[in-house]
Amino acid sequence: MMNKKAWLDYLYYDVGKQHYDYFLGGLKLMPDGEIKSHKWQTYSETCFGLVVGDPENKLWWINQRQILPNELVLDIEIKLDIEELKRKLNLFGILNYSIFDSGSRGYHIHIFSKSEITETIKSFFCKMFGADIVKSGNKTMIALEYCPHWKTGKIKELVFKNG
Amino acid sequence: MDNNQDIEQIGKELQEREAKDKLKEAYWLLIKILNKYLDLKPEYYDIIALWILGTYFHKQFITYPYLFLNAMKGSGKSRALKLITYLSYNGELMNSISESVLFRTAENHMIGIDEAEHIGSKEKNALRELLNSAYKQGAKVKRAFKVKGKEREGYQIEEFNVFCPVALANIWGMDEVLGDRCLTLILEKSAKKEITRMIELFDFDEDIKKFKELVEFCRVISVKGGIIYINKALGWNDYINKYLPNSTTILTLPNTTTLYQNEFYEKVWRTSLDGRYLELFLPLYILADDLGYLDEIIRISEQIVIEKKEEDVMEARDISLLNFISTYQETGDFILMKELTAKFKELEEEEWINSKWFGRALRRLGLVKKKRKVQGRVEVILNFDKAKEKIKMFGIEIKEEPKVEQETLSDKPNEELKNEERM
Repeated sequence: MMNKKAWLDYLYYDVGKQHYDYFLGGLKLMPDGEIKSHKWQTYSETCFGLVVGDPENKLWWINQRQILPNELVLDIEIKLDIEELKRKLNLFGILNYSIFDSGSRGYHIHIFSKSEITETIKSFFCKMFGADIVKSGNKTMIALEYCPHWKTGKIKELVFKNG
Repeated sequence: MDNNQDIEQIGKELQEREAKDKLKEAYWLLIKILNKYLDLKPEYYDIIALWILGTYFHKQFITYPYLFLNAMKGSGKSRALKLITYLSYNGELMNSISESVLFRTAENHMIGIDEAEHIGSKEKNALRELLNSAYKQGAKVKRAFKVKGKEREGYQIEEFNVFCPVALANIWGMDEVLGDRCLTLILEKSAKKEITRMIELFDFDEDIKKFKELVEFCRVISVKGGIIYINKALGWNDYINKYLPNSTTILTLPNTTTLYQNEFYEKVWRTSLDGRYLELFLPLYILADDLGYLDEIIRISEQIVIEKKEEDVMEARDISLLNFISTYQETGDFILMKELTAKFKELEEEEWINSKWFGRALRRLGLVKKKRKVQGRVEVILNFDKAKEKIKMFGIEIKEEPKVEQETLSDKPNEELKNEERM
């Protein structure tokens, strides 16, 4: 399992090239069925003050993150055949992507782009793949990779990576 | 993870491809809809379908032709116009339109004008002039309106863009200048009961609903820069300057897009169309090329142009005939057809004019009130009023003979009469 801090850093420095101070969030399902939400904080607010030795303790609440402006997430609710998904992605010329088991019902396909992706194009892809259209919004959260799902407790794990 | 791929670009290309597929689907659906409600010459379906599709992208064209439906009464003009307006982008159907309404409605609308006979009248001069220019980009109308300031009143100028797709329908035809801006389609009475008995329930037609969804998708993509036609229109002059044998520009190696576009331009260049006709058909060619039917549309357009030219010659003769009848000495009695033909023949100095042609022309123009045969000779009562009314449509003013009070012989003194007799 990947270190949470290392993954957040990777998103901030490598994927976002420090352009996007993205939001982090946390959801918790209480025993009585109530859902509690942690106040959103940006990456800089959360991670810049950390010192070596204590990060994981301070990041315990995070299990959600904002989808980056140069990122396309296809949230597919049903567990389709992965080979079929790969074929479709290939067909559309999308060569670099990661397919994660969402830890809930379906898959999350994360695709990073070298430039920002408009909402229109994001929603276009969501429609093409039958994915959740809400994930094409500008300020939308998605389950954080390599973390337990807030509802099921299952870890969002990488299933396949291309490129 | 490597993020060298440009998803925005990939998405745009995919969107454009999807939009073009949908545009093809919309085109076929449109042909199906037109076939369901209208009985036309086969080639007219393609022209009308392309014209309707073009209304969704018309701002991307430099010119956009008017569609003119000309036919006798009961030939389905109004239905055709209603359907075309319904299927076009933001179509508005009007029976009587003023110049002021036209320029205030034109922006982002397609305008259908039924019973367009009145456009030829003297009172509608301003409207006619406006229509003469509204088929081209850049046509604007400016109006001043009063603004009340704190100290004094002032005027502000409001500008209206009048470039819009217009479809017209009438029985009598169109005056020459406006007619030159139109794709004229002549409709004929239909004998197909499965079409003529169809009720115009466009709102409930599933094919129409589906068509609108498809074409709206394409329009939205086009607004976002997905479907681009303007470059093709703009590239025409460049093609003439760069790639044609007489060009003075130094040739450079074209890229794939240019080569593809050159293929389109070459086909257009090889057509027999020129000047205004080319200007009118170019938008339809551009659309047809995208749909893969350019060759077919070129063939149809050439046929329409030939018919139009023949029609123009015929119309010129018809105008002469109208002029002849409207200036003929009015009488409510029967006139011998042979006599009329001979006089017209003499006036026109054309050997081929005979009673048969003359009779047909009178009937076509609806100038015969009554007809009879007496001892093998045809006699007619003519509708002089109609001839006078029609001739005005072509901008020809009939000089009314000043009515001289006829003096009766008995009013003149005997001396005067005697003098006149002597002279």
